[in-house]
Amino acid sequence: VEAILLVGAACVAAVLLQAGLSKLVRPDGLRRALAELGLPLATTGTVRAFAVVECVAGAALLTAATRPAGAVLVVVTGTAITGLGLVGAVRHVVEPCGCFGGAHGRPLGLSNAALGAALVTGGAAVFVATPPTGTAAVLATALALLLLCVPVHRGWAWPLIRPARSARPDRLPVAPPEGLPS
Amino acid sequence: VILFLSVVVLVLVGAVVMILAMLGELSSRVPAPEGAQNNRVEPVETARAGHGPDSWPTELAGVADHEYCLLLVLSASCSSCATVADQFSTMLGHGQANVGIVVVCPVRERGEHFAAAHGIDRTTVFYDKGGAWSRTELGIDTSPTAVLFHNGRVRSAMYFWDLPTVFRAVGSLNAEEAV
Repeated sequence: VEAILLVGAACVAAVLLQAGLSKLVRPDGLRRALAELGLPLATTGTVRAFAVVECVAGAALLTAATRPAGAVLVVVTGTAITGLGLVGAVRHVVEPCGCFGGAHGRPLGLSNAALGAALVTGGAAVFVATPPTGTAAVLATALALLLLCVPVHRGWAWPLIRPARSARPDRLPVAPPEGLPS
Repeated sequence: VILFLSVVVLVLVGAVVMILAMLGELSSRVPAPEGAQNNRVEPVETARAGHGPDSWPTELAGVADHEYCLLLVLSASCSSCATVADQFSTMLGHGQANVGIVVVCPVRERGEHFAAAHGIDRTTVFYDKGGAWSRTELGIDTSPTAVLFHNGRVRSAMYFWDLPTVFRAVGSLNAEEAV
């Protein structure tokens, strides 16, 4: 049970750190998404402030002294993400959400609401239960963060770690036909 | 000491995350050199080559009747697809009766908004909710993708970034003339 709690808390912390650190560097994606929702606080500063809250929430889960406060922050953050996702789903927005700093991807919608709900659940679980903190939590979070950054930043990370191809095709595998008559 | 080293590891991983995000930000500010990024196609390895869809959407029936036809699979939430849709809208009316458009969208309204915003609603568009038809019948789950059919069966499929490049790749339309 302790291991499950450790992994769960590490995943929650890693998601928040990944989202927060990425948005600190690339706030424009979420800013555009918030602007599409018509929120008056859709500014770069607001997005960066939200990113700092995410980072603090994630990091606070790693020590015993700050864990309860961190869990509350996680619940608050998750609730905000859920709300934004639901509003985005209702309004059928099209701007990529920029949740992890990317300029492409899905817009705010039900997937964000689901992730937010998962964070709320995780934050509540961390608050009620007592997952391990300290060295184990820090190392587990570092590992989860490393694993998470590969799919999130796959455009840059994947070429660095994928197996080398012996022969990269530069032509279509099937020869094109003689013509495509109109 | 172990705790300190663990924190150092976490900080280093955090730095990696920020560097990767920064690379993305920098690359988004640098325009791709003409001809380096856009003028290429890549094969789609998941495409169901040789397979003929069990059922064609009624919107695409007219396209599928041709000996050769090309389907452009676009997503309503992809910036490259928006560029392709803009390119296609400028080519409407130039005799591409055997070219069909599939817009993958979570709900039809979003697909229609995408088509209207980029001027492709003037042609026949199939709105593929959730990409179910593209995924199951064509093996396509990424966009923008061009799927070439011969006698109703998938002959090849390719990722692309520029519509004229696709037409050149299939060896048919003189895209520059058409545009």
